[in-house]
Amino acid sequence: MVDPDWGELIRSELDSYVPERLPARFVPGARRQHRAPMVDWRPVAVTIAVLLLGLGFATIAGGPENIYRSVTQISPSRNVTPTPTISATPSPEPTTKAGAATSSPTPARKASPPPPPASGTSPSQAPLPAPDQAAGPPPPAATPPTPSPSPSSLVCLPLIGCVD
Amino acid sequence: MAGHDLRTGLRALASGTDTVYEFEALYERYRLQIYRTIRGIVQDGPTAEDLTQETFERAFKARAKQSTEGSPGAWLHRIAVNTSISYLRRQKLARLLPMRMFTGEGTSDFDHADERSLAARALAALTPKLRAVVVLNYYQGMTRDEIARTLRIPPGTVASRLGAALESMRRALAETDQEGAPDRLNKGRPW
Repeated sequence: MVDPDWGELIRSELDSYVPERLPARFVPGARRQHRAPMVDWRPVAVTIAVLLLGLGFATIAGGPENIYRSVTQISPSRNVTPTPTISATPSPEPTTKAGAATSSPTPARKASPPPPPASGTSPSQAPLPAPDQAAGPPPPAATPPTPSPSPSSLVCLPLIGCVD
Repeated sequence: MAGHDLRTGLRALASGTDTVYEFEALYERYRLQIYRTIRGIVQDGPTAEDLTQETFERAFKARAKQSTEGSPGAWLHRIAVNTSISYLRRQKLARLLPMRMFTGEGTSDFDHADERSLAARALAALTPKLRAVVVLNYYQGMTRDEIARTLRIPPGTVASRLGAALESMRRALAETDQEGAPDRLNKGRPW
């Protein structure tokens, strides 16, 4: 196989190249920046930040189930706040005021039937509201304690946790 | 390669009595040669323009270090070759990916494989270092000793690189013949 005239080939090839934007005069410091392949890191950074924020929130809240519970408790539609209409319902305690019912931490107990009275206690002492309980002696042992705080008094905030 | 006036100009540059005007003479004299040398190495027009300007910027900053004994052309070509190879090294794709994947934004001649000449295909088959030796030898007409002085490598290395480059270019030519399209590739090219 006969080699072509590489010198002539390469000379004619390179001589055909004419710069389009190369300035005719040298100006120090006027060099353009290279068109290096650019990578837009901003979406990646935002995605990582969002994922880290979510991970931190999930860690503080204790897991996905607690996140769901916290969100539903924060949601105002799930807050069972007693309204004056509730206080208008007949109550076994005649001394309960409407304002006291608003500040009561356990409004759910008003809707549920009162627990059965223990022996030796009068029925009028069973459904005592919270202000009266704080002022008076501790409630009788027959009254079952609430296992968890009511949804209306539990406030959960991101990065802080739940505060009763 | 360089005239006496250019050597005198460089001596003036090195002695600190230079002005931008004196360097402009060097730029006007060599800018096309440097551009085409770089173009032959990086094989992309816009990139070659950028690297040509970078070459002269580097030369302008290093003009005080330039030895007055050497040729300004060899000095500029050394900077140009080093700048081109550094650029291709920075890309880190020169030896891993086909040339068309890192040659600009689609305006390069090398993006259109059908339109590439035999010389372009042969150069594309070489590594950047082999390309630099081939361009200096076949385009600039430098001897092996001149290339060795320009690139500051032993003459034996220049010879071995030229031999390896010729072998690669022959293989590229043979592959072109096997593809059965030599007429299209060699259109308008003298043999």
